[in-house]
Amino acid sequence: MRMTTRAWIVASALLAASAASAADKPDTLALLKNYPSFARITKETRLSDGDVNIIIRLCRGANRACEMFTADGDDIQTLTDYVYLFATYKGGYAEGKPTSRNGQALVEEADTRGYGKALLDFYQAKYSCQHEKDGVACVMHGLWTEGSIKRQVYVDEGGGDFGIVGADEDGNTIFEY
Amino acid sequence: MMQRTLYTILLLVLPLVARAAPTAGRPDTVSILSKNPAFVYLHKMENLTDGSIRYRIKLCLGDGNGCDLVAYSRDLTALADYAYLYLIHDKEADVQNRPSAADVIKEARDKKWDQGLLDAYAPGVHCVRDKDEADCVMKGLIKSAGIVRYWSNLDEDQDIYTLMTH
Repeated sequence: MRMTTRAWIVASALLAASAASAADKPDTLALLKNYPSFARITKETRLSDGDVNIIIRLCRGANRACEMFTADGDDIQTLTDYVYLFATYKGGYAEGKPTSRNGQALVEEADTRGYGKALLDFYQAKYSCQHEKDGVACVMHGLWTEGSIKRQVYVDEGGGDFGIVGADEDGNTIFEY
Repeated sequence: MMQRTLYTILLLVLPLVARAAPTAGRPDTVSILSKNPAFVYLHKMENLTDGSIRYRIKLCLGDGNGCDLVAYSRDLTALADYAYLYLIHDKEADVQNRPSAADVIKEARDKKWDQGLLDAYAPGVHCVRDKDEADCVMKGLIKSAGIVRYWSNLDEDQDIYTLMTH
């Protein structure tokens, strides 16, 4: 009986440790998937050679204005982590009229459940960003570089026309259509 | 007597069968186009949230600054068939820079594959005896397969499209 209790205590400790580890690094793909009207995630596979590309769009205003992030290869985790941090800290998605489309619910969840901070803590250690003035920017730069992430911004101008720009990491236009 | 009757039936039926059969086979356009990555970009697009799948095809015949065709559909075969007909019937004069595209067109003409494709689709999209059968079938395919076309004005790597209105 004593052994059983001890085994239970050990198992509980292991489970707790495992849960703590999972809490350290949230599953950002699953979290983004919970808000499909805000975040659209597409996997592109080239049929001739099986080459894979992941695209995530964060949209607001009935998809009339979107940020689009892509990464070469199938390193979806780096991309989803980057996009989750962008949505939570940099996109301003909780501002303005509160609707599911502007990502407010995701931003609130990241805050109240601590997912945003957990993600930051994980990567601040990885990228040695603990002492940086802007820890979020430092982490996001690390992810941007590691994931070879590309960014585009497009706005639905009506009548089937889109205004589209390719942007750098800070959102500055690097080419314009 | 029995043999003679069978022979007579065969004589009567064979010409009818021969007339009904298409003059050319129907090509596997997905396979043909996938073997030409120099100017064809064929992608499966999987929405990871809801699992829905669309396909996108791009034909890029020039030296950059845009592709000649960017189109999406949930029906891969119809999409590839549309792109194949588009290449042969609308872009024959624009393949100077793409020898592999010229080869695809030549093979289609030699083997009458484009006509085989038109014959296969024409009845279903009400284009039999249409004055411009290819144009009619292509328009019919757009409607029946839900093909959406985009303009493309930047090169392949920049991936910039705008929706075409039909």
